[in-house]
Amino acid sequence: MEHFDRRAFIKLGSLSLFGFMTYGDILRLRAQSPAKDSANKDISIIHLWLSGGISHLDSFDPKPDIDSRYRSQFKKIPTNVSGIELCEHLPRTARQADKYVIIRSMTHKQAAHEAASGLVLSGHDPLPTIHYPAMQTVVAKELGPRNELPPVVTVPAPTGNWEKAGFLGPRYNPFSAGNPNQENYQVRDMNLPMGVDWSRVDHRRSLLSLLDDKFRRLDTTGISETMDSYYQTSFDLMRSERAKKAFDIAQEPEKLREKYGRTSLGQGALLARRLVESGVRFVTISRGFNTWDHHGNVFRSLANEFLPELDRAYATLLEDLHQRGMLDSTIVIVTGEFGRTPEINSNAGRDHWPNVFSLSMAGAGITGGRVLGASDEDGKFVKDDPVEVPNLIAAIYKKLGIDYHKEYLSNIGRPVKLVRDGSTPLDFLMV
Amino acid sequence: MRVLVLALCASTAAFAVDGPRVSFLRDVIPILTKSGCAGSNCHGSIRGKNGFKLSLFGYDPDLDYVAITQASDGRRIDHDEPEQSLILRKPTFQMAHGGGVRFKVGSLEYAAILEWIEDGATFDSPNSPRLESLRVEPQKITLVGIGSKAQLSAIASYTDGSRQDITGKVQYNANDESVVEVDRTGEIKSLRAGETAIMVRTLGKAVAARIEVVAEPPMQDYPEIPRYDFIDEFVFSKLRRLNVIPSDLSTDNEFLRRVYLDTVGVLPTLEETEEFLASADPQKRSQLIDHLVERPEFAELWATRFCDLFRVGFIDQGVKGSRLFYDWIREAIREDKPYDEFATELITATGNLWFNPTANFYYITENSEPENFATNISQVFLGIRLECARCHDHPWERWKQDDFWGFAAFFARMAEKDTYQGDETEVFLKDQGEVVHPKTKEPVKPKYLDGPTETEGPDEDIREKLAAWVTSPENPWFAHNIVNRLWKHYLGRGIVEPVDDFRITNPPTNEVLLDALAKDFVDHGYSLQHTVRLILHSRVYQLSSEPNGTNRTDHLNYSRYYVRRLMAEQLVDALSQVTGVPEEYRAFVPGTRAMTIPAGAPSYFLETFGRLKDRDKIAERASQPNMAQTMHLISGDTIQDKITAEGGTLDRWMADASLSDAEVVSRLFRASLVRPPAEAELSLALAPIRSEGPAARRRAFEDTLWAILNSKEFLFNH
Repeated sequence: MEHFDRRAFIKLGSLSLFGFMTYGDILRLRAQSPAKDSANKDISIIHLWLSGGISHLDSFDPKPDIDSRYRSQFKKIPTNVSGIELCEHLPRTARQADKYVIIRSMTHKQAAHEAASGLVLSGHDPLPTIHYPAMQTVVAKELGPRNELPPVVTVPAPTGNWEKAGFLGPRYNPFSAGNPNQENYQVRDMNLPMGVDWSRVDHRRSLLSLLDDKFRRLDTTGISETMDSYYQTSFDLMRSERAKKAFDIAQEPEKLREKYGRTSLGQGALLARRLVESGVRFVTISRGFNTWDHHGNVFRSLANEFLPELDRAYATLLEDLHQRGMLDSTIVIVTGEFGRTPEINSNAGRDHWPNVFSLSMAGAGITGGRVLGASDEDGKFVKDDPVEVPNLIAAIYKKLGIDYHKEYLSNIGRPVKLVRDGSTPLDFLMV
Repeated sequence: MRVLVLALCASTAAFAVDGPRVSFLRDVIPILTKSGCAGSNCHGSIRGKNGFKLSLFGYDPDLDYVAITQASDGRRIDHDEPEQSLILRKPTFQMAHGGGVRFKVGSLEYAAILEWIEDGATFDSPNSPRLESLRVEPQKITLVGIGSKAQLSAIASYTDGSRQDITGKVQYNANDESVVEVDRTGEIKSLRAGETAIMVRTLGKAVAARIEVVAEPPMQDYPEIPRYDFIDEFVFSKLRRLNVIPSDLSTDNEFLRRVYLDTVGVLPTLEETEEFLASADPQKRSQLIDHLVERPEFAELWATRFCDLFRVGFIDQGVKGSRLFYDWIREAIREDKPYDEFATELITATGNLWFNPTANFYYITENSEPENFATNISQVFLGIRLECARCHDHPWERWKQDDFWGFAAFFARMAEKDTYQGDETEVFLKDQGEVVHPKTKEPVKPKYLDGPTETEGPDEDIREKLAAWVTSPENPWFAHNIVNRLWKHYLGRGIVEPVDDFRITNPPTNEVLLDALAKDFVDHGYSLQHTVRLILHSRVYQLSSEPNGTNRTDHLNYSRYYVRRLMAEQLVDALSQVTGVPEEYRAFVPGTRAMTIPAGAPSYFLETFGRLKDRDKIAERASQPNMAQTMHLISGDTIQDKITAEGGTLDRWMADASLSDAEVVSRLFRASLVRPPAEAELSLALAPIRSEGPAARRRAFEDTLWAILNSKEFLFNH
């Protein structure tokens, strides 16, 4: 109760005007829900990774009345939480506002895609000498796989090295699932080739094992065993009915697939839900590297393509997870590496803007329907409650039960904490 | 903690014998550094900690003095009540302190700092002598037996010429803590047989002592090992000292497959294998080596290696620039262009990327700036990583931030521009340019590493002077670095490892060998081919990879051939060669081998198996396996298409009525593994045919080939 912040109280309090949910309801829910004690819960994460950087003024932080040099062409619309408004191209998301929080005061200093992506995904400002592991790879290392499925999956594939394990080593890299929005989608190399059945595979493997016998004596570094374990894992995965089913997105009802949207993010989000259901810990979904980098024609691109895609994917995912009772144990994150300039450039675009940007997050006991922080009048800088990325990531680690103080020895022998030194979990996300 | 403090008290009177006054430079900073306060994860970090920032490991005492006595309104020092000073209360945990207890009230550290504050917390006079250099004695120690001990001492030389034993004030760290442990007093104790270096640090200076641990006294019945040349001399002498017996000489089969893959990147054909094995000429290995180095594939392999190093294939360089640069390198290797000329042409390159191949050397990152070139050239040609010194003095090496920016200043005039309607790029020299030091905000004069400053005369390209300095026989890094790179390719581990991290605190595992290789290289006109031949001719290169009882744990001293995975290009070319089914690469004629394709042509196989993709950094290829590789080998189209293809080698052999089934299997083994199948292997391979008849032939051979191509014996060079 004492952790409940004042701002949240105001937002939630106003809900009762609609008879939607009273503050008392929330408290009761908190008391009932074991998810509030999230450190004990086996939490999964789905990250809608808007690589390139989404314009905050045209999405989660609408300011339609500001100076025309900055003003979005989009109107704002109410959400199902009084006092929270979104851009008009996120109507479905608006109807789920009670489930997520919006942080409108994210801020950092990295204005290049690579550096900012590195920071947002690892909790560290990049250095030329150290390749920090991405958050999901730390999860892979600290928590390991739940079953024969890989612990960490990227859909379709990592947008860059910032999604990889860096100095932790490639064994923690995410597994690339490919693009589920393709016709006849399947994971590369996961099915046996035509004409090869499992009895042939058994014969092949016994030959292979005979051949490898001699070699084992030569290797004193352990790389043989590592490779053997990959063969075992690969065969287990290929043989797994659970894995086959999880990746078989075609089993989903046509109606639901349409509802998520026949887009990279949409089908990616749906696949992510299936994977999490089957035991994957962390799924990252993108449209590919830098796709949200709208230096030109920002309004046209967002209105016609990007926002509708995000809107369907995010809103449907939340609804779907909620209906299946999975939202309590799944964190959904929506963010890019930075926001975009309030000032509209000569190409009708917006450029890189890390000084203030927005992020939305839901699930795992985070009380929805709240907004943290605010940007200033023109959406240029933080006005209230600045949030630094490492504090956010520390909060996520804490929710997962990973000790964010933990220290690794980096590739150059310099000790490195899981998140930038001195970071503390963002209180706002802990309730 | 208690143990540490006791150990310190027992053994170091150093703080007390300094004389009546405690010096900030000689005592306070070393104490804070040694206590861990100035480490990179504490107040030495780039942001400091909780508002208190010290220079990393005490490299900048002037700054530290301000931080301690003046910053935050001087609240860290209490002149009226010295015991109340934060600088004492925090590390002794009389107040909350994120770093916990660093030393205790009443300890020598505490007493020294207290006395310094009581005396006014003064800075040594501005002219007081500064630490000029640090030496550790002895620089090399061999410990015999586990648990044996030795004592290091640290000697400081100051700018006034005075010297002082500061053994108790420096920090000691073992590079490999499993070999020896070292305590705060500089006493070392052996833990297991092996080698490591102990880094000794204070006030931003670092030196290293090299430690060898031999488990037993010298072996009496150590066998006589033939020595072919100086490489064998130096490697085997050291192994003798370590009681490690090298593996036997490789068999002809072992040697043949190995030397082909290492030298020309392909497998020997069945005919080549037969001819070599049949020959009784005692010189046949030497003759083969000389022949292989002459083959065009030798130059292709090294062009591929250098393309990795030079980050060929980045952004706008595109296929055209990459191709041009690759061809230039290949030609230089083929004609054995002296390496000093090779480097000079690259360092002084300018021009259009699509017309002047060497210009691509400077087109490495999106924002080419002098500091990128400084990092690049020092790392590529000298094996020195200056990058740390860009932002702060290097914590483990002598490089200061000034060294970095002085080196960068050689490239102050370098620039790029778009030409030909913006479609093409040209690297050129501006009329003027300067590099500004980020701290002093002053222009920096070009300065050689560990050397004097340089000036650029009118109508001069200062890079020519730089190239002359880099490639000079007196340059301590240039020849060492390239022979070390060559050595690593053939022996699997650099004598200095990583190959681009030469520093005092990362000493070579066999210094005399590295020195001799470098000198021999210079004496032979910087000939890469000469040194390659020399390495290949040595017995060390030709040792078996099969370990014996004494060398199983050796990973440093080349007592056997270390097995290693094939490069992506070697692997896919070998797959094509064995199956007779080539790969196709966009914009290259069918049948083109991967080793002749500079970065650029997209290939799932090459990228999955470690061809470099990220060009932001100079990187070695990842040699670690991953899941995508395994799955691709198991069921991916590369192997599957090749083993099932019509018109491939398997097809031809199956159609040849003169070949028995056993002979087909044998040929598959010999073509890929350069050995015949063992009886059990043959029998299992033919089992399906035995039980199901000739209808199972195709399937049985495909399965055999699949197993061979998935075997470690195939995926590795050994």
